[in-house]
Amino acid sequence: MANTELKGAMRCLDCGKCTSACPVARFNLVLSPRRLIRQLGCGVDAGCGDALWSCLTCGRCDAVCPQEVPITAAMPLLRADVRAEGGKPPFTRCGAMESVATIQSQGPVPQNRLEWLTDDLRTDPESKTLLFIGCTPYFDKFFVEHDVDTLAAVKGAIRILNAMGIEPAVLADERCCGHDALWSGDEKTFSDLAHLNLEMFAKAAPDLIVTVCPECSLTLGRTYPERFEAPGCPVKHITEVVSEHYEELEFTARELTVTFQDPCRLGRHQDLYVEPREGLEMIPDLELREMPRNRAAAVCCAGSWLTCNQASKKIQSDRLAEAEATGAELMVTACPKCLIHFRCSQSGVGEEPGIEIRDFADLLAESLQ
Amino acid sequence: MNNSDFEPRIVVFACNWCSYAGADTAGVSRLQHSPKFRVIRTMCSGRVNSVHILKAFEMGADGVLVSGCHIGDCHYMFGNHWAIKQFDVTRDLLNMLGLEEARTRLEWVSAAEGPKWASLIDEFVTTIQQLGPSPLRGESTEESFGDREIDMEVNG
Ligand code: FES
Repeated sequence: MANTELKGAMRCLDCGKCTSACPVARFNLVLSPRRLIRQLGCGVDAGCGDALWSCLTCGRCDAVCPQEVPITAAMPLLRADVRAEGGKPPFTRCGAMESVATIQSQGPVPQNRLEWLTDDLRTDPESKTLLFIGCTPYFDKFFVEHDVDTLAAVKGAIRILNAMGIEPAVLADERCCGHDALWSGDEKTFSDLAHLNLEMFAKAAPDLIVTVCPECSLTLGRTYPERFEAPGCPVKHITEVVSEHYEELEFTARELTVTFQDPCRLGRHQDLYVEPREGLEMIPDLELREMPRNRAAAVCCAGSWLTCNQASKKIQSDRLAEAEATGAELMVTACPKCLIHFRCSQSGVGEEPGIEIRDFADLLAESLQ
Repeated sequence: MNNSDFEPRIVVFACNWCSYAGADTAGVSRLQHSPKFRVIRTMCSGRVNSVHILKAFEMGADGVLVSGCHIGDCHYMFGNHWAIKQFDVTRDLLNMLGLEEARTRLEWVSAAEGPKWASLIDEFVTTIQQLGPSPLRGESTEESFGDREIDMEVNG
C-alpha cells in the first residue's frame, strides 16, 4: 500500500467530517473516507475493495477536513497499488471508454475527430490559442442513446472565441488528456497519453490552451506541469476566458432563470466558483438562483466510469430535485461529464426531475449578440 | 507493411444458434476456407457490444467480424436488431480512432449456410491481408495477442 505517500493520514483526528460530507457514504455503506484514512494512518492494509472504486474523488471531504489530510489525492495512488497487484476496477460498460483512451495511448494514429467542424465555426491551424476538444466527439457517439450533445460546448467555445476576435486552433491529433486513466490508477496509459499530447503541444507552441472540460484543464494545467514541467503556457477553462474578457462580449437579454451546477473539477479542484457565475450574469435579464448546496459544498454529478450504482443514482436524483426546487428553467453546468451523467439518470422511466441541462459555453454562445 | 508473411489476427464473434452452427456446417461439409481466424462463441450477436470489439483492437486484432442469425431468426427475437445498433456505435468510435471501416464487419449466417460462412471468412481474411496490420496494433506481438487475460465483469 502507498502508506509512504500518505503521511498526511497521520494527521487525521478521526473527527468524521469527511464521512459526513461524502455524498457517496450517505447511500453506500462500504465507503467511509474516515475509516479509509484511519486504516492508512494505522498502517492497516486498506485493500479497501469496493470502497476504493466507489469514491468519486469529488473533493467534498477535502473541503471540510480541518487537518488538510489529502484524502482525494490518495485515491489514484491507492488505486494504482491495487492495480499493480492485479486488481481491476469495476468499470462501467465493461471499460469501453477506458479502451478508447488506451487505444489512443498506443501510438500516433491519425484520428477523424473533427468531422463536426462546420464553416461558420472559424478556426485557424496557425493560431496561438489552442482549443482542446477533449473526448467530446467520442462521448457524443458513445452516449448516443442518451441524446447527449457535449460537442455543443465545444462549438459554443469556438463561437465565443470568434466573438472575441480569436480563431482558435483545433488539432486532429489531440489525445484524451488522461484524466480518467490517472484517477483510476492507470499510470502507464496516463503518461503515454500525456507524452503524445505534449509532443503535439511542442509542435503547435500555443500561448494559451482553452478547454471546455474542467477535467482537461485540471490535467493539462495542473497535473502535466507538476509531472512533466510542460506545456509551459497557461491552460484555462472557458469560464475563465469569458470572465477575463467580459468587455469584448455582448449578449442579448434573455428572461431566463438558471441554476449553476458546480462541477467538482472546476470548483473544488480548481477553485473556479466566481468565473462561471460572472459569465452567466453577463447575459442581461438572466436570473441565477443558487441551489442550497453550492460552490465548495456543491454535490457533484456522481459520475465516474468506475462505478454506477444505487448511490450514484440517488445522488443524481437528489441533485436534480434540488436544481428543480430553485424554480430555475435550466440547470447550467460547465463539464461534459455532468451533462452525460445527469442526462443518463434522466433517461429512465421518466420519474427523475426533468429539468433541462445545458452547458455554460453552449448557452453563452447562443446568447451572443 | 503489406507483405506476404503478414499473419492477420482476426477475431470472429459468432452467435451460438446460427452462425456458430453455420461455421460447424462449413467444417463438417469439409468446405475449404482460411483457418486464419479465431472464433469466440457468444449466445447472441446482441451480446457483442462496443467493449468486445474495442478490446480486440486494443489488444492487437487486425479485423473483427460479428456474425449472427438473419433478421427475424434471432433465437432471442430481437438480439440482432440490438447488434446493429451497437455495431454502428462501435464502428463510429473506431472510425474516429483512425481505423479503416473494412476492418469491422457485421454479417448474418444461418446454421445451414456453410458455404456462405466459408466464402465470408475467405473474403474477410483477404481484405485484412490486403489492408495489412491494424494501425491500432500498438506494440502488441503475436505472443501477447491472445495471451492477455481479459476480465470483463459486467458492471452498472
Ligand atoms: S441468437 Fe443469433 S443473433 Fe441472436
